[in-house]
Amino acid sequence: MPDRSPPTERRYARLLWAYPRWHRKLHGPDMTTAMLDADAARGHGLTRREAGGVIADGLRLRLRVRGVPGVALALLLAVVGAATAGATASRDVWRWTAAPYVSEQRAAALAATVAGPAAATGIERRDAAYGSWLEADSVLTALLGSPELRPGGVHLTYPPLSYQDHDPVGKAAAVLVADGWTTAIHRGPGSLGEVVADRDGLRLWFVAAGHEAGTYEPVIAVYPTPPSNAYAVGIAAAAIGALLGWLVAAAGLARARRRPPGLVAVAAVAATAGALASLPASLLNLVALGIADRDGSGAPPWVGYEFVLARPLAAVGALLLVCGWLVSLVPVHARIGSLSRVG
Amino acid sequence: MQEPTFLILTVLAGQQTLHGYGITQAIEEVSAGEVTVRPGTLYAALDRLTAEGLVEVAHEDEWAAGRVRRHYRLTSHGSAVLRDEAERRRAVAALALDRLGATAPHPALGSA
Repeated sequence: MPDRSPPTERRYARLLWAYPRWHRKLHGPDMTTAMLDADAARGHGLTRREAGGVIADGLRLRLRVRGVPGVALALLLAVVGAATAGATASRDVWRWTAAPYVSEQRAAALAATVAGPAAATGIERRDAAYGSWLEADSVLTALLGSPELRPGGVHLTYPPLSYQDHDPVGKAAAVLVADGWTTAIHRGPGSLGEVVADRDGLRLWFVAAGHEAGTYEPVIAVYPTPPSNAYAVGIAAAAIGALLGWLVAAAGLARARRRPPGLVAVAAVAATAGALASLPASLLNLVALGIADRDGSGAPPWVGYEFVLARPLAAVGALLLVCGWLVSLVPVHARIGSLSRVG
Repeated sequence: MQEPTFLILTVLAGQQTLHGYGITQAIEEVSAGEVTVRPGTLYAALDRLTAEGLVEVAHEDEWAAGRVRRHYRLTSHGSAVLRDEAERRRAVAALALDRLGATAPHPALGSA
């Protein structure tokens, strides 16, 4: 006869940790008994393969979502989870690994190599990786987000210059290369082009703006180079966040099966509304994470939480999601339907 | 209806009550050893079938250290659903045999 000692029961109880808590509470003791009954009949315990199968079934149960509405909600929460985790992780890595911000004086000195002897006509500074350049610390901007977002650092504007006999963008790139910068040139509508240059953890962004009547206005920004590892970490975190979002949805939906219909309806409406409200910011974050170019010149992966209207919607969405989750946790003094018919 | 679910309902139909291991054993006997239902699969199915009202807990034995053994039985609703599914499968099987030109009923189908 196989040994029925507690260590075997403890081993089987540990296998059941793969199952959701509600399932362990409801069926755990019975499952353990069934496995021990099988041991007694066969004369040996679970093999490693069989134990692996028990664990795999538990993990599958954690992920299981039934019905189109349930799958839709799980997908929404997976998107929100991916965007939240990706934005948070990349922002933290950005803060920890980016170079310190430079002063206006240092930025002007660095910019002088391409701007020439003329003094800057405008200098603005924001010590933030990315954000609004509208009225600083405006309560409205803080609440609603901003439609105008740019990289932080020091931004300098200069008097118009003539370019009739040379390519200002190419010339600027050549000067920067000679000064030890690594450069990349981008040309597009609306300007003569721009140069993105990196050196010693700093980025110098030169734009030849306003090319009318043979003149252009140099605009130069100096800020810490966007750390490329922030995007890699963000993508990995987004994958984990998607899985966590799905697991949270699956757990909530499983719990909802044993709740009164009224409570389920309130939780479902709150969760769905919260996920939909968070969607604009989430999609902006994921697009920024996905289309980041090698220069990291695009918006960072948390741009959704800065953009106008997406920001307050994301805040409302988070609140609704938390409310939906809390409602689903409300204890109800009801036994599973089958037990009430026992006797 | 998936195969494990059909087999669970089938083995409960012919018995008063069965506990977890009893269901597993009965399924192996009915399927001539071809189908083995893992504990995880079994109890996930029992949970769903209980929630859907096809199966119910007839009684449970409890003893020391929190050990429990629940005995399950088919509900009237479960019997109706099983009957419908069995009829559907029989009709499909009969159609298959017709198309194959079989003249004698299969022993298993003949003993309904």
